[in-house]
Amino acid sequence: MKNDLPSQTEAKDALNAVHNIQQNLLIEYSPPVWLRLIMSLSYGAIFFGYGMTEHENIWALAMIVGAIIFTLSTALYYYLYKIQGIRIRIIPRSIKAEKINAYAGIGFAALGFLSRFLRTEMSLDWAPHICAATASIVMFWLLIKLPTGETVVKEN
Amino acid sequence: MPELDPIIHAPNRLRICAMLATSAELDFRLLKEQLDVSDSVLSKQLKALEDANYIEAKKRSYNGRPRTWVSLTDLGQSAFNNHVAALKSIINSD
Repeated sequence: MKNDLPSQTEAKDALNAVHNIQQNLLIEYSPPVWLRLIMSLSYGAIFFGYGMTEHENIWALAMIVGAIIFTLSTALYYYLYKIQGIRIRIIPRSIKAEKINAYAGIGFAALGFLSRFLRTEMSLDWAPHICAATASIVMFWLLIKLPTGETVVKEN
Repeated sequence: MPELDPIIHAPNRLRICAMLATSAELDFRLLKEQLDVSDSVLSKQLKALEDANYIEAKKRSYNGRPRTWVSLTDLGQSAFNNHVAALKSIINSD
């Protein structure tokens, strides 16, 4: 191969082919936006319910309903990919995806903690609203940018 | 400096590896649609990658119909990453 190195133009064309086919696959086969919206909102409801729960009040129910809807919509998300011929990766293999998932995991854990702590210990009643909204937005962003859990969708 | 992989360098095999790198597994049918090639052409390309232990193909039935799922092995992922790095280094070289 060393004696037969491609030119810069050929190398660029090959990289463009890699980029184009990956982006095409990620965009063309993405599940519908409404499903990703339901997943994000139900995920936020878990954080909101957790932050508002006190002595088993009605908000515990919101957390449970949010968890059920999130689980069902996630199952549908996986299923829609599978029937199209794509099995998405749960644990990422690329370093970039691993980093994004690690930061998101830490961020969600912090949001969960703050959602409850700020309201109960510091009397900041708006904390669950902000944390839930942030969790929903971050989850929606992850579902748009990292739909199969491995390769990032880039702007054209 | 990373070197180009002669097995992956063929255009269709490069595109197959690129697609497989996005997910855990892809269906044979989806690969065929995306590459716009015949069954035999795709099988030949997959065989070359399989012989190099870059991919794994597993047959599973779905709703009573057999489907072939193809995935990139760790070796294949590493080879693909190195190949892409080699292409980038060619572009960046003077």
